[in-house]
Amino acid sequence: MGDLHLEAIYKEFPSHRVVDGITLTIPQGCFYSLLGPSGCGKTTTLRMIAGFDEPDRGVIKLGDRTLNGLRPYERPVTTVFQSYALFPHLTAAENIAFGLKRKGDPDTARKVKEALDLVQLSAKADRLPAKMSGGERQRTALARALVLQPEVLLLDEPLSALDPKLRKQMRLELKELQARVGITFLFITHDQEEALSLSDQIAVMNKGRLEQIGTPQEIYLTPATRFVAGFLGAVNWVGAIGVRPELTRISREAPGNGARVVEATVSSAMFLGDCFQVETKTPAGDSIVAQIAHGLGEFQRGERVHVWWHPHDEMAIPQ
Amino acid sequence: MMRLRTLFLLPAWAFTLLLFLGPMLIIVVYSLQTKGVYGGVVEPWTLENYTRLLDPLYGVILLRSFVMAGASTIGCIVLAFPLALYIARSGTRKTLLLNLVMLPFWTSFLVRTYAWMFLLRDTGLLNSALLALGIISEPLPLLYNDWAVIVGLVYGYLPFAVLPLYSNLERLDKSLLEAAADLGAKPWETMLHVVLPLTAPGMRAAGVLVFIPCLGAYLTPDLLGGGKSMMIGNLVQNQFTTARDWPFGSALSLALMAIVMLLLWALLRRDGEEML
Amino acid sequence: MKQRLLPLYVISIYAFLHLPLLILCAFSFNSSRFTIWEGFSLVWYKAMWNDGALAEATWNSLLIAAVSTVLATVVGTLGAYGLWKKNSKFLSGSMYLSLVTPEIITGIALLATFQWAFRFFHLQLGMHTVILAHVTFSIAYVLLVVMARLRTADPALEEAALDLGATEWQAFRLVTLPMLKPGIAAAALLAFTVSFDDYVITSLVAGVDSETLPMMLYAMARRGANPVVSAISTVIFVGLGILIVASERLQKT
Repeated sequence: MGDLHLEAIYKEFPSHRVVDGITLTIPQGCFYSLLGPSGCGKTTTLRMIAGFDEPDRGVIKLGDRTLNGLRPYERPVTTVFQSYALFPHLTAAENIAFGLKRKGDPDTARKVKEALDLVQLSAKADRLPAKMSGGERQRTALARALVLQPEVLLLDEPLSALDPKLRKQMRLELKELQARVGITFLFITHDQEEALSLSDQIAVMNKGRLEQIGTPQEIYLTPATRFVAGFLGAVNWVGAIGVRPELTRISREAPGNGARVVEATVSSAMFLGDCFQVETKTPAGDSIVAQIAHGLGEFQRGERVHVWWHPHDEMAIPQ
Repeated sequence: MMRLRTLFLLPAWAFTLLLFLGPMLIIVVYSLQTKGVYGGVVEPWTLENYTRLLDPLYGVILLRSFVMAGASTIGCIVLAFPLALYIARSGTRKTLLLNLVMLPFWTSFLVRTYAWMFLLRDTGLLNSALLALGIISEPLPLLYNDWAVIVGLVYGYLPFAVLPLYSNLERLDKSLLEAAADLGAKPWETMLHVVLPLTAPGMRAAGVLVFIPCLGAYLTPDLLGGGKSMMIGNLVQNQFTTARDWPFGSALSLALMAIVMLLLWALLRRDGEEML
Repeated sequence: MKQRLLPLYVISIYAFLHLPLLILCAFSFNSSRFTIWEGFSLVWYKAMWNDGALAEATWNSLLIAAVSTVLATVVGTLGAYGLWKKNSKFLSGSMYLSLVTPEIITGIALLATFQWAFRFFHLQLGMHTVILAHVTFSIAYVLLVVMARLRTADPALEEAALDLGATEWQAFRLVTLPMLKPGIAAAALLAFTVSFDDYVITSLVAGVDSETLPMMLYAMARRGANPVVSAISTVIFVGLGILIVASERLQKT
């Protein structure tokens, strides 16, 4: 048992360098997310931890054991695949028993039953994957990986194959499950909302490099780079200062009490259902968007307004 | 993972090298040597076997093979195109109709060829029927001529034309036809200016896939041509059995092989590897 | 106008494809030896049944087809799996080439090779050379069918097996092989039919002990009209038809 360490990991494919020097530590028992756009190297990173790919350089350690060079079946790490990769000729229970049987576990039957209970699939134990719903498949894949009691569970965009409603529900279940089993979860995703809502810690990746590591709040509120700020949500940039649209206010009168104010002209106003989105232009040519709640007034195109925010909502990022 | 893969490929490699590529190499070597007195192959090395390919005696057979294969190919495409068009437009029955095309193809080639002998020979069904009906007084010489061979080849390789044309026509966006009609094209104009140009890849594939086996046909000209309609394949067989001129037979085989590979290469270069 | 012409054209093409075989089958039940229908009879089937040489040729064909099917299926399946893991353009290209090589060329090339090899081994053409030849040309068919099946497979399945503690061999045997089962069965049936049916290559590499059913059928067909040939043809037609329909079914599951 122990923390998972990646030390200066590099991986090159014939076309380009996919992972370009990543160093991070994933604390034991943590729900850790690797967040980034597609092609940023997060899946390759996962495959190197699982043992499907080997890094060109760098060390992967679990506690003080080096994982480099170990075959996938020799690593105390299991994976929930994006496609789930359930064996189509085996039932849910048989899929879950697969790994235990490879180890010759004498307690296979009981462990499979417990695993089925854990993901609430006891009633569907004898179903083939083709006869399961998306959510059931996902839970089978989870149970199959968890039943081996890995030290780290790798999840490769496990929610992306589900429809949006189910996805939100599974998100809750996943979080709860992790709290119950206490295993380190390394969650790979490109969905910032997923990462923010699930994780204890997030590492944001871009073009094979780490942009920032921190808690969800740190990442969202004090992004270290423009990329992180932009990837996690919309940002208004005024010079080196960034402000989120939902923290930006608009009023006709100048606000008092130390607010940062910019005078601007409304260039468009859109009703988005839960709020109005007002776009304004400063004399300097910056465009500032504000999302304002109903009842805070309606603004017309061409109107001169004060755009303002609280200084503690600012994100200062050196350009 | 590497070791298991290598191990698994080993038998396939062994068979390919020892019993496909190896034999081809032996044929190459034989084609450059001289016929022995009692058959077999002896030195000296020579290119004479290749220059003999141009001898009018054999040239006629080569030329005839091309003409017969060409005619059969055209016949196949003419029959296959409307059929493929019809199948591509027949919704849920597509699979059934396609299987009906393929079914005779998968049964014994020999049996299928014999079926035509049964129909065409002097005492065959067609002649018997025509005689019984009093339309003719003497059996028509339907079997053992070039036409019988062409019919047999068209019959034998029709599916090779239907399949590529079908998959081409099936992918054809129906709204293109509607657009053509909308822009004032009559059905035959749509056919000529929209459908035909868009099915050119299918035509090329069908052409090559039919032409290759027709050019190398052996059994069909042998049984339906009855020795009167010799093609390259029969000449090759003849050189290896009756004439016992293995070097020349080898040179002939390689010439045929070269044409086959050239045609395939041209097709793949033009229409990409999507067909494989 | 075209709407009525096209179906008519299509029907006549289907007639062209199926009638010759159906007529042949029908006349195998004719009591006359001539091609005038005189009445239903099984006399030609009886003659076929009682022909000892025919029985021997059929036995040879079944034996050759069975042995070469087993070998070609094993070699082809392993090869397809190997190529799936890492494609070798040279090997797959050779396989495709062997499929389009005119049979007569394959046949004479094998004949030349066997004769050449016999200089070093005291062997003759016979059952074994026929089987070797059949395995060689069947492998490409098996490879093609199994590869088509593998192309639709999720590569993550094997990774999942490895991830769960299976070795490479176990991943192949417990995950990939069961998944391929229908494809392999279809490939085997196909290999059996192409082997059972082959005349051109077989006739070139066969010895005195290995006359096959197609070889005998060929000789009888050349000799002239004989209703027994129609009876044999019907049996082959129906038998192979069943195998092929079964193979198609399996490929779609």
